[in-house]
Amino acid sequence: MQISLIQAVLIALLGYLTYIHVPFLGGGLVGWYCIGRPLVSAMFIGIILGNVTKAMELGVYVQLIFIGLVTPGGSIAPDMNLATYVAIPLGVAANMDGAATGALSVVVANVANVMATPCYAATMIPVNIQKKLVADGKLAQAAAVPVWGNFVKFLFRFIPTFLCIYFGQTGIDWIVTNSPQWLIDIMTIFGNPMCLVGFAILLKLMVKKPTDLLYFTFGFALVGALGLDMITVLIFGLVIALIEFKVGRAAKKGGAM
Amino acid sequence: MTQKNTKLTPALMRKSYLNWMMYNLSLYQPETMQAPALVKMFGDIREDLYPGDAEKQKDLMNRHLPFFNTEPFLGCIIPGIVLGMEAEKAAGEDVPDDLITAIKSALMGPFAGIGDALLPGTFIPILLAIACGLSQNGSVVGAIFYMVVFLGVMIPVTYFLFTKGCELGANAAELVLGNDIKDDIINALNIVGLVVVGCIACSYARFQIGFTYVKDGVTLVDLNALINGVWPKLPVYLMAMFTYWLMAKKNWGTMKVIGLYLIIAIVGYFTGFLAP
Repeated sequence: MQISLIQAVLIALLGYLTYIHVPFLGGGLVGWYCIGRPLVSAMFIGIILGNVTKAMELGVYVQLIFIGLVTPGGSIAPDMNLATYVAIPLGVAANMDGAATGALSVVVANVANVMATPCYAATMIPVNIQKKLVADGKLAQAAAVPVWGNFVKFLFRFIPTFLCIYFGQTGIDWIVTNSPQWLIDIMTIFGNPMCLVGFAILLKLMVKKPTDLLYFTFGFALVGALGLDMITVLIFGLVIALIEFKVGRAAKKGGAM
Repeated sequence: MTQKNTKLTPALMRKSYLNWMMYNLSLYQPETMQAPALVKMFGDIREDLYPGDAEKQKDLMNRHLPFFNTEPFLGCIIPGIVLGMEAEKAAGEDVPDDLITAIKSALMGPFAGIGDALLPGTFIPILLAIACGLSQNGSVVGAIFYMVVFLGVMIPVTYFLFTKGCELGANAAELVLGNDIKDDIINALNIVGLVVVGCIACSYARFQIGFTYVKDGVTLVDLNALINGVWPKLPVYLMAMFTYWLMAKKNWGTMKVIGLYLIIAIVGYFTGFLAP
């Protein structure tokens, strides 16, 4: 399918609105941490493109790769936002599979990092204007700077996202239709285990002692060996967690059970 | 305990809460980080705190120009505490400027740490892992589940933290930082997270051994079937442990691991050891 001009504009606009620093959807709780998650973004991208099922299928894959993404203050992390809003629309348009879309998203996320420093530098302009306005006693204007100053972030989000989607689709389409089978196979083998990178980042955060890996193994085995569904696994997890919680509380009350 | 004078009202708290929740990162940059948002928050209530006093209003905004940075959502307790202090100061209580700055500096580190660990480090990935499980086969159920549960939990929690900060002042920090039940809750949540991540890893990651030995049209050795017969999806499990070991124990970065994956894919394909 072809992504139309208006669809590309809408997707790029949504990409901007769900970026980490953008206030206009009600702040990061609604934008970045909710609609901005690849899984949720995929639903809206799918609605714009008229193919929700395909978008969700790809969205799950991109989400799993970035599931462990933590963006602590000041550090420059992989650009999940641009990756989501470029890889999923292009994947839907060129009818790519999850593994290939995941591979594309990883490439975009890391290439897009080059924009981080210039964007921060440009943000200094409104920040310094705000400082000067306070010094001059123009307080109402100083308070309004964080509203219009966000325009800087708009330039660094909307334009690259729009260009990549609108002009990238021909390129991606050509690559997908003209790639030899061996290249497609390699990309599939490459993309298939990619979400393990996201899980490894999570495990790094969650595993406090080596025996904690047994919980991971337990969840793995419930699906691999027993073929249980997600909800059942969750219930097992909650039960174990509850027991652990009670033991932990009891231990703190001086061991009195 | 004596009741202190304050200009704090419920309307003021609501207005400032929304203001902070929206603009906390709007002008984020490495120099003063989230400070421009605090300037805005106090700028918008300057008439409520110091009606008609341009000089005091300017001092108020000046106090918040320097560096401020924390995890903005669970850490919203700090702007809450600062608002409580400023509202007392505006009502004539003796609140030194240095104390306000000191409280901000003392609390922003701990709340950045605990906020990042709890929110994007634990709560969000667990919810997303569950949501991804629900959205298998392209269903929107997972996405809707995530939106409802995440906002349904986080909006009340952040509002509670912000208003508690306003009312209790610095004591409110004790609520979160000094509470030993917090560690047990994190510990328990971690276990749910680990089990769920194990489940998702098994459902989504694929790593297929392609090696087969065929003689006269009869498959004598099918390594993939053999290994999966030992334990289902064993290659995926080993690959997951290998990736974890590289990243956690060898401190490999994401790009380096992905580079290795690419090499493994190319070598694996041409030797026929891996199958798509």
